[in-house]
Amino acid sequence: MPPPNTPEEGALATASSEPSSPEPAPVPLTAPNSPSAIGFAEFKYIFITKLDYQAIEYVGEVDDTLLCPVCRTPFISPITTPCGHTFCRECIDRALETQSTCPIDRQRIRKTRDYHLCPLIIKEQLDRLMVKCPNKGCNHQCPREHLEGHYKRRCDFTLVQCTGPDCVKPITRRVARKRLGGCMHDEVDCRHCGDKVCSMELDSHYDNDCMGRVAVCSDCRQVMPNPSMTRHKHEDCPKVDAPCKWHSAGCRVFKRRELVKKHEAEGCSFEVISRMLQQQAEDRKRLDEMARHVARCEERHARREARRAARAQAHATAHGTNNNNDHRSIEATHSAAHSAEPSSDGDGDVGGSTEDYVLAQFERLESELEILRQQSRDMDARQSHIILQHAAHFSDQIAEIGSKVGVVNMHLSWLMSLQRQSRSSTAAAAIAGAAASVASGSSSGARPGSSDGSGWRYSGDDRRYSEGGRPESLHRL
Amino acid sequence: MSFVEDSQNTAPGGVPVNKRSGAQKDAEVGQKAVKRLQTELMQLMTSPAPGVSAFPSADGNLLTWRATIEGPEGTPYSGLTLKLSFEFPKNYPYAPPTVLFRTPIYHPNFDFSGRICLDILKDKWTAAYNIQTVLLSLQSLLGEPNNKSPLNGEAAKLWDQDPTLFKTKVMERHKDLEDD
Ligand SMILES: [Zn+2]
Ligand SMILES: [Zn+2]
Ligand SMILES: [Zn+2]
Ligand SMILES: [Zn+2]
Ligand SMILES: [Zn+2]
Ligand SMILES: [Zn+2]
Ligand SMILES: [Zn+2]
Repeated sequence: MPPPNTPEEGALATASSEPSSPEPAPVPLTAPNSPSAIGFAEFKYIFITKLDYQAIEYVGEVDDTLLCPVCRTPFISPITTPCGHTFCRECIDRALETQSTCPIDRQRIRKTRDYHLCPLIIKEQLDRLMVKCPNKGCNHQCPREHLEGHYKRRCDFTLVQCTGPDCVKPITRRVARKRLGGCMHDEVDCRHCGDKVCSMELDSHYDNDCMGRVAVCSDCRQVMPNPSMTRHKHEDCPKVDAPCKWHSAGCRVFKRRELVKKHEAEGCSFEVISRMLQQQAEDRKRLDEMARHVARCEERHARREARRAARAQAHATAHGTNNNNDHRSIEATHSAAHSAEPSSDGDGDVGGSTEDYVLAQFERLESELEILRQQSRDMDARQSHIILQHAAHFSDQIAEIGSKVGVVNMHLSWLMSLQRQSRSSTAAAAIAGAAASVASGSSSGARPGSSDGSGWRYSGDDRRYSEGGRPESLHRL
Repeated sequence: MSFVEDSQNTAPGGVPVNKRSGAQKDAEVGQKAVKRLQTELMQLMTSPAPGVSAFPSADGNLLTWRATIEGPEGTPYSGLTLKLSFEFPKNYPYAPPTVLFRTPIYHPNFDFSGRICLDILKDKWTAAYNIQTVLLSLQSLLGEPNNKSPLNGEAAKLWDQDPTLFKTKVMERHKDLEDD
């Protein structure tokens, strides 16, 4: 694309009079001015991208008159129509594809043939507009007419093809210069840790993986391998803000970790709550476990009960005939069942009939169950006791705070009354003074009725408040 | 311009040095519309016109916008807020956007489903129009309907013959919309 104000070839006869140097061949391009490329001046960069004038950002406000009515950005290669309107060459071309009239006043325009050279004064204004280099990372600003040169010849951030022999990946010219003629996508040895790293990714390797490179914590000045820094800042650094260990229980302390450590060591009042919650969770877990155990026992017991009933029936039917044989066989099945039940060991085996044994087992389980029930009841009681205790503790504290507030309240009203009193007594004095000047002979005790009454009331209030435990509470606070 | 935007490996202001294909040309056209809409958004935010506002819809798609027009003083619509939707074609601004009233409105040139009869949104559109000029045209249409080509014949008749009844009908039809 030609520089912004150069009309495209064939559009205008005056195109050759443009001062800008003839267009360098776009691909490939020599980079004669690159400072670090001395000795490699012949090196040919292959550009990946072209400068897109419509996307560039302008510095500051651009005068409305320089905006193309179609694309709403400052004119790019502008032309003027016979009706006197100016558009970007490209914009008017596109507009004339759908309608053959001027977008502003609907006069007929013939594509290309009716285009006139835009007034030079507009071109000069456009050339002087300050723009930002569109390359990511580049902060360069210059008049628009110089942007093309910066982008093509000087900008370090223009994308070029990788300088490796068989590589077409895009890299910035700055990176390309560093390893002129080599590929940036190969592996190199990290000079800190010796790991093999793709040379493009060296920077991120230093930040995230390299254990050979040390860094100093910006907060506490501790030295450590670079990748440990994030963890250090999050978990260890004494100068970084952190929450109290018991924050899940409601502690609001959030300050430098060393201060938080101190706060925790001095005893955070939320520790009790937190521990209680933990304890509760543990107890809950144990209770659940026991409940499961009880359920298992009950199930096992029910099974055994059923088996016993079945066996009793069989026994009753077979009783008359083959008593001994039958008994032995039952014994055998029983001992098989017994060995399959690891928990039902013990005394049931000592002679006696199967029924006796099963009954004994049953009783044992029954009592076990009872014990478990007892335990869970105990635990419940203990639990609520603990909670009650803590609740009592808190309500004590709340009551104390309440009483303190009451005392403060009292102080406040005492002070207010004092102030009111002093104000009214000055008022009384003023009135008394006035009265005295009218009737100079009257006695000092005979005050005007109103001030007399109020004076008495205030002094009464005063006394009442001073009785209300003012001196000692003042000390306490 | 003989270059196309590639989605990857492209600096913000650069376009790849390749020959374009048909699909790429389409993409480029869409890009141009988006660019123009971005500039319009900037200009609407820096120098808003009184009584009208517009913003891209919440889904981040720059090709659909929501707009509002305040009913102008001295018209039956004064005090009402009218909401509209804009759908921009990929070749905007070379083709007009599709504009609809989302707020139910009683007006000679708007029909019951919010469609608008306005020449600049059809054959009289040119690339020099923009969102703001469209909104301002619609706003002035509220005070001066074009009764020669009504979409709502009853409204056109009442506008001339019974302004009071017209106003009543306007208020009956109007319904404030929740924002979305
Ligand atoms: Zn014109
Ligand atoms: Zn333009
Ligand atoms: Zn630059
Ligand atoms: Zn490479
Ligand atoms: Zn390393
Ligand atoms: Zn640190
Ligand atoms: Zn704490």
